Amino acid sequence: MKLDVKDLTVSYRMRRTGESLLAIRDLSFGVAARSFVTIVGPSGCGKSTLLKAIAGLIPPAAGEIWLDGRSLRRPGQDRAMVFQSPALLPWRTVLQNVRYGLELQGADRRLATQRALDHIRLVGLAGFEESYPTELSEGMRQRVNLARALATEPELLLLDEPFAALDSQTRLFMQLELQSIWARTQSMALFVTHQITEAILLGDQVVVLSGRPARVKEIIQVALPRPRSMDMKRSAEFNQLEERIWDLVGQEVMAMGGFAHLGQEALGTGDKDAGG
Amino acid sequence: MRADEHSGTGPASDAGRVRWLRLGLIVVFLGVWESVAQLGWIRPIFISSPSRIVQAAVWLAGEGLWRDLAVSGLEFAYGMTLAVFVGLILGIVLGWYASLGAVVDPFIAGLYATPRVALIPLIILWFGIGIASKVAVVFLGAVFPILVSTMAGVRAVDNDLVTCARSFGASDRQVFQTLALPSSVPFIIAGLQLGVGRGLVGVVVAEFIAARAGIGHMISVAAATFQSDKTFVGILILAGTGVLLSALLDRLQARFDRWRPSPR
Repeated sequence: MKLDVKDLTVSYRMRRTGESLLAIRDLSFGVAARSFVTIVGPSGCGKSTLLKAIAGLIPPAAGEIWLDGRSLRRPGQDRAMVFQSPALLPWRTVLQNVRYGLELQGADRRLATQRALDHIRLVGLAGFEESYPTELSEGMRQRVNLARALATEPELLLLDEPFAALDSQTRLFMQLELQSIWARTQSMALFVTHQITEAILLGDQVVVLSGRPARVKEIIQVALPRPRSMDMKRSAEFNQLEERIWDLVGQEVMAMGGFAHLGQEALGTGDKDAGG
Repeated sequence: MRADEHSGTGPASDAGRVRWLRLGLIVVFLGVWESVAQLGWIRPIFISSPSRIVQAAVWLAGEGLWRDLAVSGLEFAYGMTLAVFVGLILGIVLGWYASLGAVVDPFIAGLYATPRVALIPLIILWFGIGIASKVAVVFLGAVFPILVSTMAGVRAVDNDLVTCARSFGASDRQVFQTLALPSSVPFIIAGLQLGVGRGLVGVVVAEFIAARAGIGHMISVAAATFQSDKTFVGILILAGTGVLLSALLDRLQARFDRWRPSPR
């Protein structure tokens, strides 16, 4: 396994209440080189926290994360994250935004610009290099977000519900687009999502997490051939997978006390509080 | 709908019309003012008149207006420069080191809330009636708005952006340079706008209270001796200065705001 998450436990203190919250307990899974792994689980189970821990933004309380035999504790150039909100610097142009990650990593200016231009083209934004984020649609901003991460040419791409805010048409289009962009890179991808069809369409494997504190409930192999297409969503195989994963997630939702807990989601995932 | 479409097609002609109407309004205003005085409806000793003001200005130009201007200008420039330096540096430090900021917050809030005018007699007691006391008054007036806005600006950094920067391994210095500073620019400029206004008030009021020269001094002496023409010259100089500085800051703001979508 290229990425190895071993007995990971993550807890954090809620800033408002001072209470310590166990988000992930003894979670283990691995990702093979060049594979695309999607992560689903009940709302508020700690999917985003898992991604942030792998990104090095939240220190684990116990356990280890290994990438290529290196133990990960801090953010590094081997990983890059795509956020749910585009998180673009509004005063920078598309080109300057895509270059931002490389700049922070201390890349040579000319190299950074060249790579940024390449990746702007890759995500289909050629011609918009000098536009500001406010001049773009939400879908285009998400492409910039993606290009910024890709431009650092990470071994591991971490995507935290990147399409959650998009309308369903744009979302479907971006899913297929992401698949073809990723096929042209050498990266592994870890993709967190709420949408089970999205998880199946994109993933080589779907990791189903339990309710909080999260552990791996099951890992589902998706044997559908690549490139995947929209039509596959109607295949019997796809539907069986979807049903199976719904079952697993449903069990967890019930175990967490049904949907009643969803009201606490803002409190429960605590993403905003997790930084400190 | 048709009317809407029509007005929507001509922002350029709209802007032209607005410019002519503005000019017209000024001309009408000056005309009425002049006539009211000329016709003797209100005695010029109270309201002067545009022509008398011009005459007074010309006369004053040969009689020490420049010295008053230089004195007030110097007081303002020294005080503002000091306020900008101290306000920006302290604002950035206190905004960036949040816990330090929290410690001194009540202190700053208290000083900010105190009407600085109330301190002027004390300041004159300390610094005398020369330039130094005015510099101190301008400084005290301008420094707090600048400091408080800068502090707020540095603190207002978008958390999502910070998380993003950190995920790329950004150091504290990089977060500061690439996020905190640029996002606080509009706050800083707003603080400067406020500070300039406070500084101008400071110069004038301090000169009213105790001074040997300066525009404020000139205004108060002229008004006390019923020379309303001279008084108006001083008032117009102050108004012009305020407008000019404000316009310069607007320009500066526009330079940093190129990325913002135009409001139309």
